[in-house]
Amino acid sequence: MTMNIAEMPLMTMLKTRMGWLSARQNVLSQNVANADTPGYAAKDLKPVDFSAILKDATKPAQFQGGLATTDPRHMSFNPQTDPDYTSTDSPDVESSPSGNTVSLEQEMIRVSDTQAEYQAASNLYAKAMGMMKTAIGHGG
Amino acid sequence: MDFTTSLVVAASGMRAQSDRMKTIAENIANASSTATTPGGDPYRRKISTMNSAFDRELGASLVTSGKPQTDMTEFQTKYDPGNPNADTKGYVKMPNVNSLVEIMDMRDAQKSYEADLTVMDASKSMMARTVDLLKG
Repeated sequence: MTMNIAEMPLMTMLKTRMGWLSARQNVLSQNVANADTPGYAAKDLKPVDFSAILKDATKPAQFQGGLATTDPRHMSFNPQTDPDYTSTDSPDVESSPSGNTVSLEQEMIRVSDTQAEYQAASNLYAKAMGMMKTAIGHGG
Repeated sequence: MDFTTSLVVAASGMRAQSDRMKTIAENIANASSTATTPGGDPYRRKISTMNSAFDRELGASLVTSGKPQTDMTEFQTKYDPGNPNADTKGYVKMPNVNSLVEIMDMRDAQKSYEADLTVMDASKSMMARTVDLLKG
Protein backbone atom coordinates (compact mmCIF):
# COMPACT_ATOMS: atom_id res chain seq x y z
CA MET A 1 0.00 0.00 0.00
CA THR A 2 1.46 3.32 -1.00
CA MET A 3 0.84 6.29 1.16
CA ASN A 4 1.08 9.84 0.02
CA ILE A 5 1.75 12.05 3.02
CA ALA A 6 0.18 15.09 1.41
CA GLU A 7 -3.03 13.18 0.78
CA MET A 8 -3.45 11.84 4.28
CA PRO A 9 -6.80 12.81 5.78
CA LEU A 10 -5.16 14.91 8.50
CA MET A 11 -3.05 16.82 6.01
CA THR A 12 -5.87 17.42 3.55
CA MET A 13 -8.09 18.58 6.37
CA LEU A 14 -5.52 21.04 7.61
CA LYS A 15 -4.93 22.22 4.08
CA THR A 16 -8.65 22.79 3.58
CA ARG A 17 -8.84 24.60 6.88
CA MET A 18 -5.94 26.87 5.97
CA GLY A 19 -7.34 27.49 2.50
CA TRP A 20 -10.69 28.43 3.98
CA LEU A 21 -9.09 30.74 6.53
CA SER A 22 -7.03 32.53 3.89
CA ALA A 23 -10.13 32.95 1.71
CA ARG A 24 -11.90 34.39 4.73
CA GLN A 25 -9.04 36.78 5.36
CA ASN A 26 -9.47 38.05 1.80
CA VAL A 27 -13.18 38.66 2.38
CA LEU A 28 -12.51 40.42 5.69
CA SER A 29 -9.89 42.67 4.13
CA GLN A 30 -12.50 43.77 1.59
CA ASN A 31 -14.89 44.60 4.41
CA VAL A 32 -12.32 46.69 6.24
CA ALA A 33 -11.14 48.48 3.10
CA ASN A 34 -14.74 49.31 2.19
CA ALA A 35 -15.61 50.43 5.72
CA ASP A 36 -16.40 53.95 4.45
CA THR A 37 -17.88 53.10 1.06
CA PRO A 38 -21.55 54.12 0.91
CA GLY A 39 -23.92 51.22 0.36
CA TYR A 40 -21.32 48.49 0.88
CA ALA A 41 -22.66 45.39 2.64
CA ALA A 42 -20.31 43.44 4.90
CA LYS A 43 -19.57 39.93 3.70
CA ASP A 44 -18.36 36.75 5.31
CA LEU A 45 -17.68 33.20 4.19
CA LYS A 46 -20.23 30.53 4.80
CA PRO A 47 -18.80 28.42 7.62
CA VAL A 48 -17.59 25.01 6.51
CA ASP A 49 -18.72 22.15 8.69
CA PHE A 50 -15.31 20.84 9.68
CA SER A 51 -16.68 18.37 12.19
CA ALA A 52 -18.53 16.60 9.37
CA ILE A 53 -15.31 16.47 7.37
CA LEU A 54 -13.56 15.06 10.42
CA LYS A 55 -16.20 12.37 10.82
CA ASP A 56 -15.76 11.42 7.19
CA ALA A 57 -11.99 11.53 7.41
CA THR A 58 -11.78 9.18 10.36
CA LYS A 59 -13.84 6.45 8.71
CA PRO A 60 -11.39 3.57 8.30
CA ALA A 61 -12.61 2.79 4.78
CA GLN A 62 -11.70 6.23 3.59
CA PHE A 63 -7.98 6.07 4.28
CA GLN A 64 -7.09 4.83 0.86
CA GLY A 65 -8.59 7.38 -1.49
CA GLY A 66 -10.15 10.75 -0.97
CA LEU A 67 -13.14 11.53 1.17
CA ALA A 68 -16.59 10.18 0.54
CA THR A 69 -18.97 12.76 -0.83
CA THR A 70 -22.44 11.80 0.23
CA ASP A 71 -23.86 15.25 -0.08
CA PRO A 72 -23.51 17.82 -2.87
CA ARG A 73 -22.27 20.31 -0.33
CA HIS A 74 -19.28 18.17 0.57
CA MET A 75 -16.03 19.63 -0.57
CA SER A 76 -13.81 17.89 -3.00
CA PHE A 77 -10.27 17.26 -1.87
CA ASN A 78 -8.96 16.91 -5.35
CA PRO A 79 -5.96 19.23 -5.35
CA GLN A 80 -6.57 20.09 -9.00
CA THR A 81 -9.93 21.71 -8.37
CA ASP A 82 -9.80 24.90 -6.43
CA PRO A 83 -12.53 24.88 -3.78
CA ASP A 84 -15.04 27.61 -4.35
CA TYR A 85 -15.72 29.54 -1.19
CA THR A 86 -18.65 31.79 -1.81
CA SER A 87 -19.08 34.82 0.34
CA THR A 88 -22.48 35.89 1.54
CA ASP A 89 -23.71 39.20 2.84
CA SER A 90 -23.49 39.21 6.59
CA PRO A 91 -24.29 42.67 7.88
CA ASP A 92 -22.65 43.64 11.13
CA VAL A 93 -24.78 44.84 14.01
CA GLU A 94 -24.65 48.50 13.15
CA SER A 95 -25.24 50.24 9.88
CA SER A 96 -24.43 53.82 9.05
CA PRO A 97 -26.82 56.29 7.38
CA SER A 98 -24.91 55.80 4.13
CA GLY A 99 -26.10 52.19 3.99
CA ASN A 100 -22.72 50.72 4.92
CA THR A 101 -23.01 47.72 7.21
CA VAL A 102 -19.36 47.27 8.20
CA SER A 103 -18.49 47.55 11.87
CA LEU A 104 -14.72 47.93 12.14
CA GLU A 105 -14.68 46.55 15.68
CA GLN A 106 -16.45 43.38 14.63
CA GLU A 107 -14.18 42.99 11.62
CA MET A 108 -11.11 43.35 13.84
CA ILE A 109 -12.39 40.53 16.03
CA ARG A 110 -12.95 38.36 12.97
CA VAL A 111 -9.49 39.15 11.61
CA SER A 112 -7.75 38.22 14.85
CA ASP A 113 -9.92 35.09 15.12
CA THR A 114 -8.91 34.05 11.63
CA GLN A 115 -5.28 34.75 12.38
CA ALA A 116 -5.31 32.68 15.58
CA GLU A 117 -7.06 29.79 13.89
CA TYR A 118 -4.60 29.91 11.02
CA GLN A 119 -1.73 29.72 13.50
CA ALA A 120 -3.34 26.75 15.17
CA ALA A 121 -3.79 24.95 11.84
CA SER A 122 -0.26 25.66 10.67
CA ASN A 123 1.18 24.55 14.01
CA LEU A 124 -0.77 21.31 13.75
CA TYR A 125 0.50 20.84 10.22
CA ALA A 126 4.09 21.33 11.38
CA LYS A 127 3.54 18.92 14.30
CA ALA A 128 2.07 16.27 12.01
CA MET A 129 4.98 16.66 9.63
CA GLY A 130 7.36 16.31 12.56
CA MET A 131 5.66 13.08 13.59
CA MET A 132 6.05 11.78 10.03
CA LYS A 133 9.74 12.58 10.18
CA THR A 134 10.05 10.74 13.48
CA ALA A 135 8.36 7.76 11.87
CA ILE A 136 10.79 7.69 8.96
CA GLY A 137 13.71 8.08 11.32
CA HIS A 138 14.91 11.62 10.76
CA GLY A 139 14.05 12.82 14.22
CA GLY A 140 11.38 15.39 15.10
CA MET B 1 -3.15 30.14 0.52
CA ASP B 2 -3.12 33.40 -1.32
CA PHE B 3 -2.78 36.36 0.95
CA THR B 4 -1.67 38.81 -1.71
CA THR B 5 -5.30 39.59 -2.48
CA SER B 6 -5.97 40.74 1.05
CA LEU B 7 -2.77 42.81 1.01
CA VAL B 8 -3.79 44.52 -2.24
CA VAL B 9 -7.30 45.20 -0.96
CA ALA B 10 -6.02 46.61 2.33
CA ALA B 11 -3.57 48.81 0.41
CA SER B 12 -6.39 50.16 -1.77
CA GLY B 13 -8.31 51.05 1.38
CA MET B 14 -5.29 52.85 2.79
CA ARG B 15 -4.81 54.78 -0.43
CA ALA B 16 -8.46 55.89 -0.41
CA GLN B 17 -8.16 56.97 3.22
CA SER B 18 -5.05 59.02 2.53
CA ASP B 19 -6.83 60.71 -0.38
CA ARG B 20 -9.62 61.53 2.03
CA MET B 21 -7.05 62.90 4.46
CA LYS B 22 -5.73 65.15 1.69
CA THR B 23 -9.19 66.64 1.13
CA ILE B 24 -9.63 67.17 4.88
CA ALA B 25 -6.24 68.88 5.10
CA GLU B 26 -7.24 71.13 2.20
CA ASN B 27 -10.43 72.11 4.02
CA ILE B 28 -8.68 72.84 7.31
CA ALA B 29 -5.89 74.78 5.64
CA ASN B 30 -8.40 76.89 3.74
CA ALA B 31 -10.73 77.43 6.71
CA SER B 32 -10.21 81.20 6.47
CA SER B 33 -9.44 81.65 2.78
CA THR B 34 -11.67 84.50 1.65
CA ALA B 35 -12.35 85.64 -1.88
CA THR B 36 -9.81 87.69 -3.75
CA THR B 37 -12.42 90.14 -5.01
CA PRO B 38 -14.76 92.20 -2.80
CA GLY B 39 -18.05 90.37 -2.27
CA GLY B 40 -16.80 87.26 -4.09
CA ASP B 41 -17.18 83.66 -2.98
CA PRO B 42 -14.56 82.28 -0.60
CA TYR B 43 -13.16 78.71 -0.52
CA ARG B 44 -15.89 76.09 -0.73
CA ARG B 45 -15.58 72.98 1.41
CA LYS B 46 -14.77 69.76 -0.43
CA ILE B 47 -16.18 66.35 0.44
CA SER B 48 -14.19 63.24 -0.43
CA THR B 49 -16.05 60.33 -1.99
CA MET B 50 -15.32 56.62 -2.04
CA ASN B 51 -16.49 53.89 -4.37
CA SER B 52 -16.17 50.16 -4.26
CA ALA B 53 -15.03 48.69 -7.57
CA PHE B 54 -14.91 44.97 -8.24
CA ASP B 55 -11.56 43.94 -9.67
CA ARG B 56 -12.18 41.00 -11.98
CA GLU B 57 -8.56 39.92 -12.12
CA LEU B 58 -8.20 39.94 -8.37
CA GLY B 59 -11.71 38.70 -7.66
CA ALA B 60 -12.19 41.23 -4.88
CA SER B 61 -13.75 44.63 -4.28
CA LEU B 62 -11.13 47.37 -4.24
CA VAL B 63 -11.73 50.86 -2.95
CA THR B 64 -11.25 53.85 -5.17
CA SER B 65 -11.60 57.46 -4.15
CA GLY B 66 -13.86 59.41 -6.47
CA LYS B 67 -13.68 63.06 -7.46
CA PRO B 68 -14.16 65.31 -4.42
CA GLN B 69 -17.58 66.94 -4.40
CA THR B 70 -18.20 70.49 -3.24
CA ASP B 71 -20.28 71.25 -0.20
CA MET B 72 -23.08 73.59 -1.35
CA THR B 73 -24.14 74.80 2.09
CA GLU B 74 -24.33 78.54 2.82
CA PHE B 75 -21.22 80.54 3.56
CA GLN B 76 -20.84 82.19 6.92
CA THR B 77 -20.52 85.96 6.97
CA LYS B 78 -18.35 88.01 9.26
CA TYR B 79 -18.66 91.74 9.88
CA ASP B 80 -15.25 93.12 9.03
CA PRO B 81 -15.56 96.45 7.20
CA GLY B 82 -11.81 97.00 7.18
CA ASN B 83 -11.25 93.86 5.13
CA PRO B 84 -10.43 94.65 1.48
CA ASN B 85 -12.74 91.79 0.43
CA ALA B 86 -15.78 93.06 2.34
CA ASP B 87 -18.95 93.87 0.41
CA THR B 88 -20.62 97.30 0.48
CA LYS B 89 -22.27 96.59 3.85
CA GLY B 90 -18.97 95.56 5.41
CA TYR B 91 -19.54 91.81 5.49
CA VAL B 92 -16.95 89.25 4.40
CA LYS B 93 -18.04 85.78 3.25
CA MET B 94 -16.15 83.05 5.10
CA PRO B 95 -15.68 79.47 3.87
CA ASN B 96 -18.33 76.91 4.86
CA VAL B 97 -15.70 74.87 6.69
CA ASN B 98 -16.43 73.74 10.23
CA SER B 99 -13.14 72.78 11.83
CA LEU B 100 -14.90 70.54 14.33
CA VAL B 101 -16.50 68.51 11.54
CA GLU B 102 -13.17 68.26 9.75
CA ILE B 103 -11.39 67.03 12.87
CA MET B 104 -14.03 64.34 13.42
CA ASP B 105 -13.74 63.31 9.77
CA MET B 106 -9.99 63.14 10.19
CA ARG B 107 -10.31 60.87 13.23
CA ASP B 108 -12.61 58.61 11.23
CA ALA B 109 -10.14 58.40 8.35
CA GLN B 110 -7.36 57.64 10.80
CA LYS B 111 -9.40 54.87 12.41
CA SER B 112 -10.12 53.23 9.06
CA TYR B 113 -6.49 53.55 8.00
CA GLU B 114 -5.34 51.84 11.17
CA ALA B 115 -7.88 49.05 10.64
CA ASP B 116 -6.48 48.45 7.16
CA LEU B 117 -3.01 48.36 8.65
CA THR B 118 -4.11 45.77 11.20
CA VAL B 119 -5.53 43.56 8.46
CA MET B 120 -2.29 43.90 6.56
CA ASP B 121 -0.29 42.88 9.63
CA ALA B 122 -2.53 39.87 10.19
CA SER B 123 -2.20 38.74 6.57
CA LYS B 124 1.54 39.18 6.71
CA SER B 125 1.89 37.10 9.85
CA MET B 126 -0.30 34.36 8.33
CA MET B 127 1.90 34.43 5.25
CA ALA B 128 4.98 34.11 7.45
CA ARG B 129 3.40 31.13 9.19
CA THR B 130 2.98 29.37 5.87
CA VAL B 131 6.57 30.07 4.96
CA ASP B 132 7.64 28.74 8.37
CA LEU B 133 6.17 25.36 7.46
CA LEU B 134 8.98 24.99 4.95
CA LYS B 135 11.57 25.35 7.69
CA GLY B 136 10.60 22.18 9.51
